[in-house]
Amino acid sequence: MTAQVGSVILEASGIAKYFDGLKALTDVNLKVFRGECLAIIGPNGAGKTTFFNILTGLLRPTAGRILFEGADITTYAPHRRAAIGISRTMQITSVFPRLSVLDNVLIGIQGQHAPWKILRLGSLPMDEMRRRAAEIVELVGLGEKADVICANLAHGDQRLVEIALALSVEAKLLLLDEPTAGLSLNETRHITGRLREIWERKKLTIVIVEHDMEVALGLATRVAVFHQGTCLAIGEPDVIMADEVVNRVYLKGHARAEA
Amino acid sequence: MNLQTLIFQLLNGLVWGLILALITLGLTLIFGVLSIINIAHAALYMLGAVLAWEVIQYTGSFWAAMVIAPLLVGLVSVAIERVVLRPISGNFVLSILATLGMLFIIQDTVLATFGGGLQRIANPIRGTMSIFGLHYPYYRLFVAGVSISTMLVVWVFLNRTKYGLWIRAVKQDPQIATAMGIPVSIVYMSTVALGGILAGLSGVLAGPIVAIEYQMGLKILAYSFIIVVVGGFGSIMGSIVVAIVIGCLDGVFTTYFPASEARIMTLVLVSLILLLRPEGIFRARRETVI
Amino acid sequence: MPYRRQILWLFAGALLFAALPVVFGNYGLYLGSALCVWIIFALAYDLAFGRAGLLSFGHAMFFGVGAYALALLVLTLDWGFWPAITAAIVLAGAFALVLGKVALQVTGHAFVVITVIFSAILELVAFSQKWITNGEDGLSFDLYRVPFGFAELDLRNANTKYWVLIAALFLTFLMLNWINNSTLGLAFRAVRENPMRATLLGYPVQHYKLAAFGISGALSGLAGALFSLLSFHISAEVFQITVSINPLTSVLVGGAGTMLGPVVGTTFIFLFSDYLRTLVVYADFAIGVVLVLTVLFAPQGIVGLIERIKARRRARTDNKAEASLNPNDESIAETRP
Repeated sequence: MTAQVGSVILEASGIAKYFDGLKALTDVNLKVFRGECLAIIGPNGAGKTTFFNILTGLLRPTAGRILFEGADITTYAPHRRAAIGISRTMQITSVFPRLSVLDNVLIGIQGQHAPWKILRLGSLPMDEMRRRAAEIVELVGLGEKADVICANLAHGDQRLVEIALALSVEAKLLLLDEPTAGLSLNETRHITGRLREIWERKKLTIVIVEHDMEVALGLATRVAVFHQGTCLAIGEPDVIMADEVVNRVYLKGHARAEA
Repeated sequence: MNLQTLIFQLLNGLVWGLILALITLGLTLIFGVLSIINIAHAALYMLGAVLAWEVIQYTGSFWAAMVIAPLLVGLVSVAIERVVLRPISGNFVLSILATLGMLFIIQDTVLATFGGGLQRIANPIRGTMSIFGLHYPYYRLFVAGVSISTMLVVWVFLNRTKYGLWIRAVKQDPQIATAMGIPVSIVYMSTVALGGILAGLSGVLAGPIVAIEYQMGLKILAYSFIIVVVGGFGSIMGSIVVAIVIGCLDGVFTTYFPASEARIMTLVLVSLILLLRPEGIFRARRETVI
Repeated sequence: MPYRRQILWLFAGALLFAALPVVFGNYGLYLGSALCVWIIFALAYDLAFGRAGLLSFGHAMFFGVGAYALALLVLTLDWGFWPAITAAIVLAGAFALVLGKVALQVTGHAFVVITVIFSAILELVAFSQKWITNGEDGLSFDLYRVPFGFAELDLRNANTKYWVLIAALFLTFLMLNWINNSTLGLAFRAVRENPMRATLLGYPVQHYKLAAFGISGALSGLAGALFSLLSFHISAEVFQITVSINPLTSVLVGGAGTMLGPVVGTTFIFLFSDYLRTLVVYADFAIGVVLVLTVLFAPQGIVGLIERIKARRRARTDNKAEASLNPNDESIAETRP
């Protein structure tokens, strides 16, 4: 994976988050470049998911700014961030369990393309929306299961629906929160393959939080290490893996994957 | 409009607030441990008063009533829990519906046996005490005392005994509690029994003060609901404080305004509190994540 | 259920209603008229509760506002039928929007309690401010001319009034059905099923909750206005919390989040309690038993129960894995363009 350095799509500067005395994040500074795949690794409690929550607007930072494509989005509500192209999967699968796979994705697409929901002014026709939904369902590899109710799917497939939902927003920036958590080896390989394909085909920017080093290093063009609420180091995978501090803090005991 | 009236009303409000606190104490416990809003609780309060009246008819003793009635109400409470609440534990909407149904059932059962008319219980402690230049009824002071000591007893029970610890553990996390060997279903049963006893007791105490009739529970229904939530979702301290505050507010406002307007003002204030702090007063502030 | 079949059922239902006075005479007329009002109320309530997931104990407010708006406009300003009804709907809806804006600042239990509080406040106001509402004695008014095309309907004729009520129910049903099948209805559903996910997909959740609450309030106001027309009289009792509880129990017993649920539930409970009242004084007791039994054995309501039976039969004949047990499981493929 060669790093594609484009312009800065997302910049987090001075992000801090305190919860009643608990310092979840202190002074996180991070730049994400367009088209890259940035993996965020680090021990539990390092603040990775909190960081994602702040990026998507589910939490307000105690301090700091977030710039997306140059605009200051620090105070934007979550649904507005989805509208401008920031999308996310949750650590614990969060889909619409009583609807089918296709319907789930359709909700996402309608969210983008049917602004005045009753009058449907300026929106796409239903057929077109269904076509796009089907396309995304194919892309994540659930084409044959498009009409299955999500609650009846295996855990691994539900994670794929989660990813499909994130894609349905026509994201420019895709935030993946431990997409392979709790999956078997096969399912993990399957999802990783899918993610790579999605990344290449859609030319997205991806930021992925992962504990599985094989997955993280297999996908990433750059790696950031979070530790105790701050970004310890960020750079190319080889550099990071060799870094002394990083090794001491996190990598000891983690298998190193062949990049 | 003078100071004496104000103090009198304030004391009345305080006493009434303490009665409310006693009622909602049981409700809060049940809510905290079983995650259920027990609408039938208001009917249990009424049942306490009615049973007290019946016991007095038989024995002529208010004190006997004060012991027997709450115990009987506790039994009824347990019956409700086994039959109705157990299968739906945790489901908020269903619990409202089911306990509403129980409210109707209990009320109409009382209607059929006790009748639709009003009854009064004679004041067991006559006489008044001189406070701040006015004569305040001993009985009401007695009620305040009983209420406070009961709450203290419950506090000690919850925080200083093994069984209280069990209840608190189940409240925190039923699954872990089971894993630790705590008999969760017995805890549920005893919590409900305790709640019932408290409701029954408050009904007995309220007997000489208010009119006893089969719908008297409806008068405190809304308030008890409100107190549990504004107090903070199962926070005992919270519901006690809010109950007393509401009682006092009512007392103060009724000194200067007609009854309805006073009530309205209390409610407006309470809704402001709830809007400013929707997690309730005694809940640690949580970040809103939607 | 496919859209066309829904319309067919609708017509069948309307015919059934029309048949009531034919079969049961005056009692049928009374029954049908009351049912129309209460079913509209239940349908309105279900939009907020069953579709958008907002458990409100305060819908009596909107019902009452609609009722009193009509009565007062007719009494004081001598308004005619159409302007008065429209005003009732609009006022109730506006009231719901304002209230909703405040109440929806909070969610979950706090929201429920806020609706209880607001309802209690309005009830106190209604009973104490007798100069507007005349308290329990209430207001009587005269409104019987309904201009309709070239003709004029006379509401003093109970049959004519009944036709007007059926028409109102029919239109309400059509409108709610249309909403539920549209992308707005889908948005409501997404917001109810998984608000976090919905917001991450770009849905302004607050806006949709408010919209649902507002529409629900407006239609509740319609029900209230029609209610006041039943006997051309309205009293402050309309603001009592029991009035809020009625649609809740109807919807739960019938099946929340469905179109037929509120209809079936209201009919069942109304007939049941009415029938009991003639037999025995203790109608509430029976209602209580119905509630408890519903909760224990049919938590998805009557409609849900039927769906479960159908699903089981389907599973047996198809020999496939059991289809989803949820009656709300309508595919979005049915969503109308």
